[in-house]
Amino acid sequence: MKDNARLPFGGIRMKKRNKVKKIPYGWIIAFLMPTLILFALYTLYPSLASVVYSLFDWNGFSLQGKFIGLGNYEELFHDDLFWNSLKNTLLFLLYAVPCRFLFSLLIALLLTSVLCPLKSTFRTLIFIPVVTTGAIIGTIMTLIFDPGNGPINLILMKLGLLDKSIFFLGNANTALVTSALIWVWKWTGTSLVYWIASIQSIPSELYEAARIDGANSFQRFGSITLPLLIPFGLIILVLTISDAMKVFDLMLTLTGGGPFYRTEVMELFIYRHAFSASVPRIGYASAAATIFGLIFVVITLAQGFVRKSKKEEV
Amino acid sequence: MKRLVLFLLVAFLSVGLFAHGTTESASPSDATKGQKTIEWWDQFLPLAELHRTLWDKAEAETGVPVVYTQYDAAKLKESLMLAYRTGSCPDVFSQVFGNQTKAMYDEGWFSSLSVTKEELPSYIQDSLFEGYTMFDGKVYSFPTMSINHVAPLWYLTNVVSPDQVPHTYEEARKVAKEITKKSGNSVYGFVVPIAFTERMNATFEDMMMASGSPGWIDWNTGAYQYDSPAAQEVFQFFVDLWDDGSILPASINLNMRSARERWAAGEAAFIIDGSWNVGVVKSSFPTVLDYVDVAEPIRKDASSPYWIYKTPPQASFFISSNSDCVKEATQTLMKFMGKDYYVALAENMDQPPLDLSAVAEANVHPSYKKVCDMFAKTMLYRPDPLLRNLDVSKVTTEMRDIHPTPAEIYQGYCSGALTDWKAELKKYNDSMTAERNRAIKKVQDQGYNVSLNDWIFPNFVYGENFSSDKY
Repeated sequence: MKDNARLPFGGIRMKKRNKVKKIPYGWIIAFLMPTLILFALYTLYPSLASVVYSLFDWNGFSLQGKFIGLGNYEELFHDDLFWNSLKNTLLFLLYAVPCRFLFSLLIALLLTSVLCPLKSTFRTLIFIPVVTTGAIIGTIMTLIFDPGNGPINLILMKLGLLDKSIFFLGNANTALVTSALIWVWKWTGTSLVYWIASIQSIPSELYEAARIDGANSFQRFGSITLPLLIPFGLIILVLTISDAMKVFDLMLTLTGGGPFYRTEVMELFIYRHAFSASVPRIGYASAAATIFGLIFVVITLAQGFVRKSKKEEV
Repeated sequence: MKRLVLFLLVAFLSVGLFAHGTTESASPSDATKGQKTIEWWDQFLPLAELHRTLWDKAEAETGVPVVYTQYDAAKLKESLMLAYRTGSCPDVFSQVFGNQTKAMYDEGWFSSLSVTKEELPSYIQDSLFEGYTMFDGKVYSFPTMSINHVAPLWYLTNVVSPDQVPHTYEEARKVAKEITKKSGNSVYGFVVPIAFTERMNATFEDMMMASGSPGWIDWNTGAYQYDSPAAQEVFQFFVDLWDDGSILPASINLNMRSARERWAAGEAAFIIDGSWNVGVVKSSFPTVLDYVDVAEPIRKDASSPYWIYKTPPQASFFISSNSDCVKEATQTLMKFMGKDYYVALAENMDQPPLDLSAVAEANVHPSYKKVCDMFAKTMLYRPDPLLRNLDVSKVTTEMRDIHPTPAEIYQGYCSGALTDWKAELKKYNDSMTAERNRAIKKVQDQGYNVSLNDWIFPNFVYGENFSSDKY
C-alpha cells in the first residue's frame, strides 16, 4: 500500500506506523456548511424564486400574482426598451471590458518592471477608486464632466481638442462610452492586482535563461510572459465581464439610464419595472432578470470552454 | 493536536454566532419589546420636527410612542412592497404609490380609522371622497395638504429685475436669452430638471392648463391631448429655450434637487418648481433666501385669467392592515388637523396646508404667501373618473406605462437622440389611447362595468370648479 493512498470520495488514507489513519472530510463539510447555507438562502433561493415570479403577472400590491406562463417573456420580446437595454449592456461590455483588461495589463507590466519608480505609490493611487463607493463616484463625475464648469471640458478646450464644450454624460451619442470609461477608471485597480500577481508568478529563471540565449525584451514578452499569462488572462476576463454586468449603482447615479434610455442597461431596466414604474411589475422584471442571468451563464460557459480548449492545446 | 485546534475553532465560531445573536436581540427595537409602539414611515423629512411635536402630544394621551423612520420616496415604495408581503408594514405610512389607493384598498393594505365620518370636523368631512379617503362608507384617512401645482416661476431678484419677470412664453424666451448672453453663459436663463421626468410631465400639463387647456385629457370627449396644440405650444417653448442655449446644459441629467442647487448657486435665473422651493432654500441655502421671489406660471397669453386643475386632495397617511394599534394610530393622526397644525405646516413652507387661510397667520417668507395665494385664486377641481366609478381603478392598475413619455421625448430632443418631437408626441398619444382601450377591454372581460364613457364629462367647462355634485 502506498503511504498516502487516495480514497474513492476524497480523503487520504495515511499510513502511520502499522495503522491506517483516515482524515475525516466531515470537518471540511462542517466548515463549508455556513457558506453553503448562506449561498443557498441569499443567492440560490432568490434566483430560483425570480424564475418562478417571472411566470406571474404580479403588480407588487397583491400578495400573489396571476399565473400567465411565458406571457412576460412574450411581452419582453416585443418590448423595444428591453432590446435597447440588452444592446446597451452588450455595448457596455464591448467598450469597457477590453479597455479595462488591456489597460490594467499595460499598467501591471509597467509596475512590475525593474525600471519603474514609486511602484507602491502608483499602485495605491490606482486602487483608490476601487474602494470608493460607486454612487459617490457617479455623483462626482457628473460635476467633473459638467459641460459648463467641469474640468474635463475646460482642459480639452484649453488643449484645443474641443472648440465647444460637450456634455459627455448628457449627449445621446457619448453617454454610454463615457460611462464605460468612468467604470474602467474605477475598477482598473482590481484587475491590476490580479495581473501583478500573475506576472509575479512567472519564474524569473525563465527570463534569465532567455537573456542568456540572447532574447530581447520583446521576444521575452512574446515567448515567455504572454503564453504564461494566458490562463490567468482568461480568468481575469471572466471576472471583468462579470464585474461589467454589475453596474447598477454607478449608472443610476451617473445618468439614471438616460439620456433617453441610451445608458439604460439591463439592471436599470429591471429596477425600473420592479420599483419605479407607476404600477410595479415584479413578474415582468423577474422575466428580464432571468434572461439577464441566462446571458451571464452563457458567457461564463463560453469562457470555460475556451479555457478548457486552451489547456488541451498545451 | 489537530483535532484540538479544529474543536477550538468550531467552539470559537459557535460562541461568536451566539454572541452576535444575543447582541441582535438587545437592539434598541427589542429594548421596547413588550411595549406597544406606532411604527411610522414617510418621506417628509422637512416635516419631521413638526410631526415629532404632534407625536409627543399624542403619546401623552395614548401612552404609545411613535418610532419614526424616514425614507426617500423611491426607497419607501420598495420597502413598503417588501414589508406588505411579510405582513410587517409599519403602523402608519405615507401613500407613495400615486393614484393606486383604490387598488391598494382592494388588496387589503389599509385599516379604517377608529372614528366615523360624523366624528370628524366638518371641514375634514367636506374633503373626504369615496375612492380616495373613504371606502365602503368607512373613513381610512383624510387629506392634510391642499391642492397645488408645480408651475410657479421662481427667480433670483439679484439676477432678474422686476420689469424682466416674464408672463408669457415669448417674454420668458426673450429675457432668458438676454440673461444668458449678458452673463457670457455664466448665468443661464433657466435650469430645468430634465432627468426628473415625472416632474417634467406634471410641469408640462400644469403649463398647458395655465394656457387654457384642460390638461392631458379633454374631459368633454375623454381623448388624450399629448399631441394637442396646447401640448405642442408648451413643448415648443421648452425646445426654443434649449435651442437658444438659455437652459443650463447640465440640465439633461439633473433631478429636482440638483437643479435647485444649481439655481440657488446662481447658475440660472429661473426655475419652475412647487411651493416648497422656498422652504428648501430656507433650510439648505439660507444665504439666498433674501433674493428669492415667485411669479405666476408662464403661459401663452397673460391677458386672460387662468386655471390649473387637480383632483380633490388625497390622503397623506394610512394605517396598515397589520397594525395592532389602530385606535392609538387614529388618535395620533387626529393631531394632523386643526388651525394650529395648518399654521405650523405652513411655517415649514412645504406643500400648502389643507386650510389655505392658515398661511396668512403663519410666519413665512413673503414668496410662500404669494404662491399659496396663487393656488387659492387659480386652482379648481377637475373631474376624476375614479370618483364616478370605482372600478376605473382596475383599468389604471392594468394600464402599462408607455415610453417614451413627453418628458422623456424632451430629454431625447435635448440630448440629440431625436429631432422630430412632434411625431414622438403623436406616437405617444396613439399608444396611450390604444393602451387604455386594451386595459378597458381586459377589465370588462373580467366582469367589471367600465367603459370609455367613464372618462367623458360633457358638463366640464374650463373655468368652472368640478365639484362633487356634478358627477
